Amino acid sequence: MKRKVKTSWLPLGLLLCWLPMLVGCWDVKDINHRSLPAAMAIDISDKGTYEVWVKIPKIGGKTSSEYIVTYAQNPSLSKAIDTISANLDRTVDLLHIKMIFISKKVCIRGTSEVVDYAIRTREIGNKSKLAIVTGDMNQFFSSTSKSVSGSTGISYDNFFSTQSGWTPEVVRISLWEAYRGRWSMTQDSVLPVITRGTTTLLTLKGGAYMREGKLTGTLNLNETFTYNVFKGDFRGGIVQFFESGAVRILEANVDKKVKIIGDRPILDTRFKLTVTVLERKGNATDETLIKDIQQMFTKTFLDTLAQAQSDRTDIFAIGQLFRSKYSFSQLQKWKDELYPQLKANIKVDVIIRNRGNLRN
Amino acid sequence: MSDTISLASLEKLGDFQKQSIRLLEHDVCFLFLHTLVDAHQTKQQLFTWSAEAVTRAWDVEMLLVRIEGEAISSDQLTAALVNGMAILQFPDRAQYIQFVPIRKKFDRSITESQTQSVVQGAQNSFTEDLNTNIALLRKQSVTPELIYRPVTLGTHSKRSAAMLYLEGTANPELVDQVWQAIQKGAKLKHHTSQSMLKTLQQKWWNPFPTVYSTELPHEATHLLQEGRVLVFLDQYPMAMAAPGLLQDAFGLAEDRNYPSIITYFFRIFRVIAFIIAITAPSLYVALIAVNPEVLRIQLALSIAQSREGVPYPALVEVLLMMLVMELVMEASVRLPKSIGPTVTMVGGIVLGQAVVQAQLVSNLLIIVISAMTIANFSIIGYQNAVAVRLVKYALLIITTIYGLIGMIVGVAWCIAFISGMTTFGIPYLSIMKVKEGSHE
Repeated sequence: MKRKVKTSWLPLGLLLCWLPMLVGCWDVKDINHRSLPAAMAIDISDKGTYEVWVKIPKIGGKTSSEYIVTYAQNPSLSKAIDTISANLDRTVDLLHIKMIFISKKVCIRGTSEVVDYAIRTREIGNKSKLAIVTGDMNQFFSSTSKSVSGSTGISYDNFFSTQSGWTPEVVRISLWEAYRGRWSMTQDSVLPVITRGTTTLLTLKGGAYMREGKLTGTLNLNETFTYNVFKGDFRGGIVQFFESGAVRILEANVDKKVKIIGDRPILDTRFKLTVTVLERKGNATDETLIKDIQQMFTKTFLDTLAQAQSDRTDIFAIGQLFRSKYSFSQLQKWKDELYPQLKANIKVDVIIRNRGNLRN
Repeated sequence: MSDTISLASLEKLGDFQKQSIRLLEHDVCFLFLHTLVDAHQTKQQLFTWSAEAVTRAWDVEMLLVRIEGEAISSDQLTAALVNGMAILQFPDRAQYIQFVPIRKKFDRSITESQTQSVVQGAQNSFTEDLNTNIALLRKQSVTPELIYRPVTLGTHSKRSAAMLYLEGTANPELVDQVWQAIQKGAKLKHHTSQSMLKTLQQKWWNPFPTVYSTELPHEATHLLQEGRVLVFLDQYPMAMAAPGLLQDAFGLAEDRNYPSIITYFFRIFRVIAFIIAITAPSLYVALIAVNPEVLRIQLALSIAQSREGVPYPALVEVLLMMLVMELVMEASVRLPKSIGPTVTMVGGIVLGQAVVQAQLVSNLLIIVISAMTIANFSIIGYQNAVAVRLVKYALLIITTIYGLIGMIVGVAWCIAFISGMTTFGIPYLSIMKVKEGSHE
């Protein structure tokens, strides 16, 4: 009996002995043998090929702001990266890419190829942020030693980080969200639009929205702020300026309710803002301030929505709220037929929590 | 005939002595080993007794009762002498009389513990002498429920041992099983305590102590109160508690000398230390070589910078440092106390500075290794610490091959291994507590 048990274990043991041959751990490269790009920029050349820039912070540079920018041009994105890798003394490892900058030209032609590639490589994290760059891409990476910190190589990340330099006017979109926006029936994606700064690292221009990976319209800073508040992406601290004064918005909550009356989808939105007064012009009272805030919010939101509706792009992801209310075949028609008919009612509640140390 | 043979074999012992003394009008042979027996004092004692016997008009029989003499045959002579007994041989009797002489003193006095330091608690520790150890325990727990079962182990060379437990607290089944195991193992040679570990069901391939050893009577008493069985070996200054449990690595009776919040504070940190000690080197290799995408880019860059110029792959680097660390630890145990600090200092310089400056290993690894070593020795019990030292190598290898996933699998395997252990039917992960209100 005992002997039988032993023999049955033997083949299994021999089999397991071969296991180390399968693991491929000899291909593993130590971290100091990889080049770790922090950001990537993609443009389309006049010939219609992809131009790729990769910004790699120098390891062991004298200052932490040293970096190199490498460039390659190829009809295929992956081949371009391969070319860069071949020319570098170390393999390019896209694992730590935190930012992908896309030129406006790419957006007009369609970002699907870029997003599909980035998802498909498995090297680039799905949490990498996307941004649209206007202006000359050649110059975009080259003179960016304007970061507050020394490490310009990696400061793009901070620009979009809620822990660091992010403000609620900056739209944030991850790679996976862009991919989702490309395919979803009931929502589209909004990307931030930036350009190379003159005195700062970047200059914020606003946002741009896309339908099925193609640019359909743009948003200004006020609109991106409203977009972020509606999305629930808000951290306190933003200053809003009106005719009657300026306030700092401390908290912003939003309630969304949808219904269908007849064939028409209806959206009831209620913004709840908590603000603190920073400046008053003339004899502006609390009431005038509140009125100004309400007007500004209502107008911005409704204008943005109307613009997006005419562009057939559901930037606020309102279609998501109707998911349970429409059949699948109706949802397929959401962006083209139902969404343009959407009527939005908006209500803004404003609470002034704090008037500062001044009494009036 | 047999007398002459046994006497001849006694002569071979070298320290055997045969003296003629006069007791109660008889010329008596006094046999003893002079290395064990204080002959001068023993004779004085004999003469005092003999004088006493004369005044009370006792005969030889009465005297023998007085000295608690026991008749033995000539075959048993050698065994009795080696055991430290003294022998009297009366000319008119065939048998020898053995009695307990005044022995030379060569037991260490009770000192502070050398291996387990105590901050706030009873300082004394067990010594080599079995009786002293049991006396120490008796002083710690003054109760008639403390049961002591002596046993003699070994076939040729004998070694006395004892099993102790608290009646009513220890599970009678456990007591029976341990006792049976000891009786069964009594026929083994017990030169080292490894044989006793084997007897108490510690598997040779299992580094985790399923028999937990302690040097402190206070701890031992606590173990008794938890319902465990203690085994003592003569000439071994440790109490062996069966079963050993994982809780021994984290909880100490000494913790109970503080308010509860401090007790838990200590224990939480020991658990953290356990985890760090096992995973730190593996995590280093996984993050450096296999899965650097887990790191934030800032961290990745600074790590890459600190590893710049290091010629070895991460595994070799880690193994190199761990080897040096193990050697330093071994050396500091082995060296005389007067040279010990030198090794520590040299080791510190080598590990801390020179290796990094020579670009043999990265700065980060020094931090990892130090954290690991410190964490390693925050775990209670030397054997627990060594077990962790051993397990982390296994984890390191699997992590080098499979990365973080390998590490998770390795940790899971480790947990499964620990969960699967049982000693005398008690799972290693079970918790034994002092029952509320008992032995108060």
